[in-house]
Amino acid sequence: MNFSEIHIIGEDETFRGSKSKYVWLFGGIFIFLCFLAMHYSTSYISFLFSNSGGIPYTLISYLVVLSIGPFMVMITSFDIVSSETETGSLRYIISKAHRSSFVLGKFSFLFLVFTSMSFGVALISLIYQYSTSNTFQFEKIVLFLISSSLYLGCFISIFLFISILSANNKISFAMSAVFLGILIFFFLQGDESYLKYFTPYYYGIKNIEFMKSFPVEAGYLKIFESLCSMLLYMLVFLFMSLAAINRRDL
Amino acid sequence: MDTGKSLVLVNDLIAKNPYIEYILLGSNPAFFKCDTMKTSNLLFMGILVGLVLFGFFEFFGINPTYGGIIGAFIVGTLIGKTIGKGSEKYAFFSIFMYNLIGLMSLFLFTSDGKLALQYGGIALSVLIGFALMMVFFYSMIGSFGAFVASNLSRNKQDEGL
Repeated sequence: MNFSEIHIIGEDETFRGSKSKYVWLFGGIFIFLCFLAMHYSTSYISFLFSNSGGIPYTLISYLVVLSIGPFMVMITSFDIVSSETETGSLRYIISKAHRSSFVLGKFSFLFLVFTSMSFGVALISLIYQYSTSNTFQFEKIVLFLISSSLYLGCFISIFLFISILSANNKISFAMSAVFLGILIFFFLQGDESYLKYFTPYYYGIKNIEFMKSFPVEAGYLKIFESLCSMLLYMLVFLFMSLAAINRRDL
Repeated sequence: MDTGKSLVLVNDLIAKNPYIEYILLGSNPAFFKCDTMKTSNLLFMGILVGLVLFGFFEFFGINPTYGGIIGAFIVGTLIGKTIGKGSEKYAFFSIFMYNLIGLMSLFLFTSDGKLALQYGGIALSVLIGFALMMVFFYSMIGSFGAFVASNLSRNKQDEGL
């Protein structure tokens, strides 16, 4: 692993990669969807929050991230490595750069796109907050930014892992959809089941209560614990991806 | 030429180019028979191992959902390790089969199952539908396990990449 290699691959993917425009476009669509959700919540569901000090824009955008985010990440990242494998260009890259650097460069590109997207959504919700109540709730915005980035990061690492294992885009897409189905199945087993701990949905949904009322009763430790568990989940899949690319015969 | 030497030569050729085995053995029906037998034996083994695990989890009263998932993952991984590339469909089939056989045995040979069959009606249809849905998800989990296991195995020259 070499940081300069990771930087070069990440930069190349972000600005000059063949998929770059398409991934940024999906990021833009995602921001637009969040904007639509916030805009229509002002017109249609404002009566629900008349007693609770205005519409919680951060919560609404976080709910959009929770529900649509995994699918957006799947669409953009299922072929991030498998397309290189399919065309054979991976062999040329691997001869110049280390395998781990290649994977980390790809991951950093996707993580950067989705963090920028979270930042865009956070900015829009900040503007909405200020226009309706003349106040800034920076804590909620920062929490939204970190938790949505980590939540989407979990899915990026999952789909990156699947993409590394796949020989072509068709298999990668099918297996990504299968894995998403498995995660939803695990999550639907209920709160009593231990299977919920295997899904990023559980960690993401746990943060909803922090978005509702920010200085939470349980304190900052609970927030820290929740964010750390998401980070750990992301790292586990990232290390599995690194192990997979190092084990594969190229 | 000595048979041992020729075998070594053929193995060496296959290692260098996996497609050569189709060129060398493509016209030989014994090769296809051997390949089919291998897969069917492995499917049979997968179903047997799955049934043993199914019985084990039932006997010890482990939660059927956890049991189903663990069993499917073990069988899927075994099939993926053994068959290699393209083992997902075989894993799916064998997990679906052993779960169906296990559930049918439960319905036919246990007092609870007989009670459910005698009761009949919409409740039974719902129960069977729910069981089939769970079996489908277990098969998907096993299939994913096979996919991961087959692609993480070493020494797979020129497969996929």
